[in-house]
Amino acid sequence: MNRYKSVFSLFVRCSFGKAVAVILITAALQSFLFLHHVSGLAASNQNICIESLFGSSLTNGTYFGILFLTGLTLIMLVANMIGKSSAYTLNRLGLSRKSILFCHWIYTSICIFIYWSSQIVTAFFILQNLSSSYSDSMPDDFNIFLVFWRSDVLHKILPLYDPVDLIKTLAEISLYEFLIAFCGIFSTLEKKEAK
Amino acid sequence: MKNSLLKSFTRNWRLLLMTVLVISSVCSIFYIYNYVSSASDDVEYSSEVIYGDASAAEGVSADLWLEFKHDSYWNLNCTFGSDTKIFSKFYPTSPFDEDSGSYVDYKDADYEIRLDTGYSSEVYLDNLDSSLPGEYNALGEAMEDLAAEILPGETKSKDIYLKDYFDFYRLRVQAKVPYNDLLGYHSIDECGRLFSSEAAAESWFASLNPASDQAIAQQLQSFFRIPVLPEDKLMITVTRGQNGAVADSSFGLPVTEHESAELDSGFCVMTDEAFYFTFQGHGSKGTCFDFSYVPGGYGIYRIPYSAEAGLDTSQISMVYGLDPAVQILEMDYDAETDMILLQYATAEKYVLDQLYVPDLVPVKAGGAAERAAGAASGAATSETTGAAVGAAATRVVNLDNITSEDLLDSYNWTCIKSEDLLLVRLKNQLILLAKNSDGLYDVQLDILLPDEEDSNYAWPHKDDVISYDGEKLVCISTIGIKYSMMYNDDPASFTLAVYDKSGIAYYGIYTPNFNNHLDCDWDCQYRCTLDLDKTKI
Repeated sequence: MNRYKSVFSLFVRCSFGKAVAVILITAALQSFLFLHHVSGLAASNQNICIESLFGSSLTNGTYFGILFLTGLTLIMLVANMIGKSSAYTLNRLGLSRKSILFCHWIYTSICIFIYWSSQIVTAFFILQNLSSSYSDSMPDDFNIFLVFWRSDVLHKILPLYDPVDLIKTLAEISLYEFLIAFCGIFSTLEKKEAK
Repeated sequence: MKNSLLKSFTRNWRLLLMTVLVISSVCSIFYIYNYVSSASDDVEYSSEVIYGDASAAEGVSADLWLEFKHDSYWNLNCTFGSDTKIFSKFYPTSPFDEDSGSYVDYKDADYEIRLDTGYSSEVYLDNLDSSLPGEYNALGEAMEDLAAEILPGETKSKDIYLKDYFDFYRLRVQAKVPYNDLLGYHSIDECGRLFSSEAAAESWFASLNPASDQAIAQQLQSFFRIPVLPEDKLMITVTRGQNGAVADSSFGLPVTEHESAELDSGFCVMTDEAFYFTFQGHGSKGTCFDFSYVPGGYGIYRIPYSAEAGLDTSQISMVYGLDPAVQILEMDYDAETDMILLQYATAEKYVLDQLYVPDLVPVKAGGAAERAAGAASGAATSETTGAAVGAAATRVVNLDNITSEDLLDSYNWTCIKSEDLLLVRLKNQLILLAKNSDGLYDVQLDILLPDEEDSNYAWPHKDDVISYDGEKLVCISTIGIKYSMMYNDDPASFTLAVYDKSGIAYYGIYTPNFNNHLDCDWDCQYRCTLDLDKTKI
């Protein structure tokens, strides 16, 4: 048990600070760009519905979805970043490869979970603060609900009444996580062994 | 001790931070999820009063479904009056039975017979096909005449009088009947070629007997021998290729300022034993057709029908004579009393004929209930039919400000049939008929409506839901404020109108609080449908 804790702590020491930085920077960038972008739209007097401000999909949209994906990728990359000495330590702990990867999977998942919730908070924060820059009428609670429900990007992030979509998203993220881990920590450890 | 705590903190602060962040993440997700989803029921309606006072709608309640962009649904529970309350409940998935084709009731369209002269349809485009008998090639003859007037490589259009090429209108027959448990369009032109609606095509060709469908079309064609109106004009266009042959030909819609025969009917009802149908007896400009070649003349026609054998068109007969000059408004069947309700109008009067099936004899007052009771108890209906013959069942209302030209434009009148109610608008005159205890319809209201143009007020529309309590007529319209517009500015609104003996008592527009910014570009258009389940008075 102690060895598991050591492995986990090692991951945390290596990269959690960086992960927190990614989370904060992404949220700050999103909020800034979004509110800035929206006030620009309002200035050019474009009548655009709120949900379309978030773009039509994660990859084909405005800053929000793109930054969400970028942040997600960065979180995974950061979680896979372990120094040479840490890799050496990991190999010496005498835990099986499987157990190490399992610990890493748990750790990355926690990072992603925190990141995910930070994105929900960011979206909520943006919508709550739209009034200052976006047009005359502030979206009330009902319209905030409508945006979360209707926007494809926000629906992906907060799948209201849609457990199927949530499971789909989780599966997609897990696959993505596995791919990055395969290129990241897995290959780092393998390299050490080969040496 | 202090030192070791500090030491362990400096070593483990990241772990601590992680724990704190995980806990706050869980909390914030729950908080936001609850916050956002609890607002889902908060559709709020603002009302705008156009006429009268909301207190006129006291005691009116309604149950509506609101669908927003095909993915959000609300059930609205409305109580109207001076204290209007609208409660809404959100449904994330469609509450409607998808199989039934959303919630439009297509029942009325389960059967129909349509006749049309078909000159504007593609059916005749291949009339230049020389393999067809000459009789069917008359339009081709017209095109060859025109082609002779032009040089190779030229294109020319010309208006032709149909009478120069045809003596009688050629009909395109479309019949859609439940036949061998199958619904399909039986559509055959008089050359015996088959056409069918796309939806029905596959099942249709596989299992129906084309010979019988061909017979239907041919028998109707020979029954309805209607001479071509001398004024009927059609535009044809011919292009000659470089080799001199006709390369392309087409014909356009009838020349609109001239008379044209459309015959397009859609007035049909179906009972267990027969099909009754009729069509306008005059052209688009009001010239009456000559019905002297049609056995029995103009009126309602009857074709015996059975579920096993389909339509027996050889037995077609005219059962209820009409003046071809009248404008047929609507024909309905009241299954409860086994009556056909025929509504028509002239410039002077609106008429409702209540006719007994199968012989279409006018119903005598009091006879309908008796008849219905007789039918229910299984008694011989022929006896009661005989007793019920009389003249008291025709309702006539004088019309004040409509001309026969107005009647030719269907935009000037609307018929709404609701359970036990018939609502007819002829220009700005509104007539309500309600079924009495004898099973006959009586005139209840005959009022004048305000003009439509001046305000956001709209006349009753055929899709409105209506109800009547003996004093006031309530009419809920869910198709937007002004249905005359192609695209509604505010299609999420619904309107409530209350009419009484003195005219309009209340007209209000109810608009939901969908933020205006949601309704702007093409990608996020409001496509909202309101559906009424009931209107209680």
